[in-house]
Amino acid sequence: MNPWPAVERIVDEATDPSGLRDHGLQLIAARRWRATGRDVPAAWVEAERSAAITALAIPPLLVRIRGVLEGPILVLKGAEVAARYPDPALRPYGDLDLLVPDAGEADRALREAGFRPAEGEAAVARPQHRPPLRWPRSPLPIELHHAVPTPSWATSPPVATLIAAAVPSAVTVDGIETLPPADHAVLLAAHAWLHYGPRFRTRDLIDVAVMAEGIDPAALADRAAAWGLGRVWTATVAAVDQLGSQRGADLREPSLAGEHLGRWVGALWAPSRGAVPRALAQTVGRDLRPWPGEAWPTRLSRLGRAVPHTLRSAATYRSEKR
Amino acid sequence: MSYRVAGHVYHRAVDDEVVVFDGRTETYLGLNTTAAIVWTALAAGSSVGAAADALEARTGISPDLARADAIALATDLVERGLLEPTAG
Repeated sequence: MNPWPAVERIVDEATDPSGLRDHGLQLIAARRWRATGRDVPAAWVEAERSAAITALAIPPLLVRIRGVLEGPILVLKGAEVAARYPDPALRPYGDLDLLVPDAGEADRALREAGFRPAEGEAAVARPQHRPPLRWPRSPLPIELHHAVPTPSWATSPPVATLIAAAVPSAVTVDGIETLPPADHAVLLAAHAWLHYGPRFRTRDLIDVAVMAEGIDPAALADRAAAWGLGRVWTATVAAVDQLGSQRGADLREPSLAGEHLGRWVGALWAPSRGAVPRALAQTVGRDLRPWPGEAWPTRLSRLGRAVPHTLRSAATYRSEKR
Repeated sequence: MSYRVAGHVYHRAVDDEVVVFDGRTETYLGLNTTAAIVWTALAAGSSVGAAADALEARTGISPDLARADAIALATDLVERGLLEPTAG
């Protein structure tokens, strides 16, 4: 489906800037509100500047990375989806996700070429990627993935299979590739589910719709089934279809607790009823365990800091931590 | 005199401003509203005179001041390596 008429209506109806931000719509809303004569919050104008800088930074950064690494480089998620928006600067993202055949070797080569570890709490390894790196003068950290970010109970194809099927990236830098659109659409749905379960953010639904545009629905369902995500895909498609009836005034800020709950409930969409208990245990365990390389005391300290904020907006909490 | 955007330069409009990225020096430049008017005209291949006309029309300043501002900015942008004079 073409999501844009529904998105414009949602943005036009919305009155709460924080709800729009939490659903990832602030850049779209800023442009739309300005065009329709509404006041644009100063924070959104600043976000527009940041997004413009990010969009400008991507091509030269990818050229630099291409010059360092041998072998396939696939752009995933943010930058690739943004390139398929009407304007890449309408889709916010905070890092450059790359899938490579050997993330460890790529990490070593990039460090040798002058890339440095990114700083901050987010600069640690996650289950699917190595600790982020940053080119000294680039605004954007890069994350080298050795796996695709999906719920732990998904059965995504091996990375080698995904890389073998790569197609040219919409970012249009020579030698930079991405997943085929059908697989990418499933990945986007899976990644959103990994973080939010069935509590969809509107931007995630837009991403899926943009990536799936023009692809036979049966082919998409087949790909989702191959990833063990048939039920997740069905729920996601239903939510995309309901964008047309979503009301802008209904955009709510999910709380930190709500986000966790959404993730845990999301395990109920495991491929079969028998798989649910294990999926639930894996999902809760993933939320509670330390990140790769993180010590338990650090993890517990992080948890302790978050607990007083469980009922606050998750997006606000994260932005304050940065 | 007309100009073109240098090959190592990327630029985007943000509201009524423009953000310019110089890929050679890896630096960003923010152009305010009036500078953005001139940049947008020059980047589209218009002459300095046409850029001055656009500046005058959008801001209401005098033709002489608009021309002086457009020439000064174009000169500065060329010196920074962001614009290159074209043969025409």
